[in-house]
Amino acid sequence: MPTGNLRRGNADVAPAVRSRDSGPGSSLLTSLNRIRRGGSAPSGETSWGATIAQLVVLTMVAVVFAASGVPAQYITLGVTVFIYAILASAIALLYHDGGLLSVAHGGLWGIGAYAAAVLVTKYNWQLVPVILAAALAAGIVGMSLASISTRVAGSYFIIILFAVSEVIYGVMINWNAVTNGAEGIVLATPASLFGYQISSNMQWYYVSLITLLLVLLLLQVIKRSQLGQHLRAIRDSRPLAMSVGISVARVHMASFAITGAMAGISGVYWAYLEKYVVPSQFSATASISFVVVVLLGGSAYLLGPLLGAVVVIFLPSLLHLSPLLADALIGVIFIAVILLFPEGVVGLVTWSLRLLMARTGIGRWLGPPASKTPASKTPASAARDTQEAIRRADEGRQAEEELRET
Amino acid sequence: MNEQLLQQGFNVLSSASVYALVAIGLSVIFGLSGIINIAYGDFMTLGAYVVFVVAPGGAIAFIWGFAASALVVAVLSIVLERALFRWTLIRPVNGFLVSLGLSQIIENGVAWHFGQDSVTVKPADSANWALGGVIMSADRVIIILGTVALVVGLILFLDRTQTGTAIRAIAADREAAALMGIPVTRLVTGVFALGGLIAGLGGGFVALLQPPYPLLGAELVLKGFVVALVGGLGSVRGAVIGAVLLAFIETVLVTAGLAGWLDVIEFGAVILLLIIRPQGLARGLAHSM
Repeated sequence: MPTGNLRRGNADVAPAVRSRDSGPGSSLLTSLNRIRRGGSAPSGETSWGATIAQLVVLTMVAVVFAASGVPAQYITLGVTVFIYAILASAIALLYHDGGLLSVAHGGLWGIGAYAAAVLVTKYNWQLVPVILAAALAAGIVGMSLASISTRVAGSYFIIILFAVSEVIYGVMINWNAVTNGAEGIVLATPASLFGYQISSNMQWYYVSLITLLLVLLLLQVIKRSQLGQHLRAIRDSRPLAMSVGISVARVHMASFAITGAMAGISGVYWAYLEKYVVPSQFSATASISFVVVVLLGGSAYLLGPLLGAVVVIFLPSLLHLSPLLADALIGVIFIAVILLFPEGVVGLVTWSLRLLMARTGIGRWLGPPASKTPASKTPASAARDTQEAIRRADEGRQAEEELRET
Repeated sequence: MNEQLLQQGFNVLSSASVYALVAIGLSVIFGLSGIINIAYGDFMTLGAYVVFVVAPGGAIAFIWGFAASALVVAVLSIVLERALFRWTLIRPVNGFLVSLGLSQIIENGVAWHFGQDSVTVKPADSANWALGGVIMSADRVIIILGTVALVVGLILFLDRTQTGTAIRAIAADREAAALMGIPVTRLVTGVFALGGLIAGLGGGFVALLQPPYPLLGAELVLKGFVVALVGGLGSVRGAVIGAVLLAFIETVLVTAGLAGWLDVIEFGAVILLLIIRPQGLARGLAHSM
């Protein structure tokens, strides 16, 4: 019958009945045990000590950088890095632990920015209530994304989130009464925090740094919490997670709400830093650049998104390239990283440092190897995974035989 | 009023032709490789700019412009598939990420070389025909007829030829197809070339429709995805149905004076549709294969 169709079914639809690893190579029993043990905990999860050490190093580097008398424009770039890193780290949690690649968080970021611009220019709110309101607004919109992620997965999910970001963008452009349309809103008033005025970029540098540290800590807490375990369990096998009583809707709602709120907070800082909010800053292109930041740095690592942001933001001014050429260059680097070093720049650095320090034991401070990144695999890790799959298949067969015998 | 509606229907049908071509190209590539090629719209931008370089004066030189643009984009697609996408076939999400990088390169490269403003391409045929009160510009007629010819040709190719059957076999089950002796990798390259051909021609059509600018493709590709999703990704006929549906809705909305909210309503409707019916509208068709 001539229909010109290419695909019979939709492999990405109805995730409830299909699972990523429900092939013959996976045994239900071992997977079940994995969930009982706390999701598929990454084999070499960063210890709290390593986490704190990395955050302390980050703080020290950031403070030294700011105090070393670099030109003022680098401080501004630094604030931008922190703002990007807050959002990118949130996206990285969804991607690495949840297997959800969100291209709508640029829009949530914009909701935060607009919340700040409107509440400050029209109602003269203080910084803390503005942050709370922005986090709430972006969090609620973010939470609604779970209604999509529970229904469709994979490619469909990515495309629909593009549509979501277009809807958010369209509302920003058309809702003139609130957003002032394509002309945007100027936000020139300095923020006031507990009676202090925050106006200089150096002040914003420290405010955003502290926020970033808190966000990174919170993300680590989430990764170790039951929510994180359930998120990974759903990522690994949706039907299995559901069969042991995990509510996909609830877990995804919580994850999207939390990461959405982080996006909103990051947007507030962005509005204050830029002093100007227009819809074009928050189009699908913005979301794409955040995905680039996340994967460039490496979504599996605590500081991966931050380093991705450093590369994307500092590269153009360090190389004195025109912004257009710099963006094109970042595209080239990004493709190279995706194809050659799927664990990102941090993964590459860690790997080479491990090679160097194999005997000294310093390497373990650098964080976990990406145990089960949704990104593609290196040949070595693919071989490991295959062995693991074979082992699991054997276990499964044994378990079946035992069952048959009894 | 009736004539005005017909006129708008005609105009929107020509832009819907372009959406249909984007959606078909995306669908064919997705069906075979599982890759969401977000750079596909930028391939069209490239095609439009090739036409601008070869035939800025329009008129009969447009034929050369079309030929050049189809050739350039098809060859580029082959090169990109061999060099980049080939390595992501096992994990299609990486193909999507690679295409993100590609689109960044193309958009910024084009903007750097040709400037960020739009360039002017003169019409291929400046004639206008009036038919029952509807004024039809020759260019738009070329676009619509060209698209219809392409779509019919593609459907016949996929359904009636042995190569088309092989392509559908790969889409259904890549491993089984390989075991039956179908040259999978060669055909994947071939389908990327086919997608490039469609993008090149589509780019030529777009250049007739509006002055090309660097971000043209970025806007086209999202609508193309919406059309493809509504029709059911991977289905050529579904893509056509989706495009016609989109054309109809756009006509109604523009007549109702909601042009500004067009994108919000369209994308919002698609989101709702896919929340309620994740398999798309044309699922029934897809199963009648």
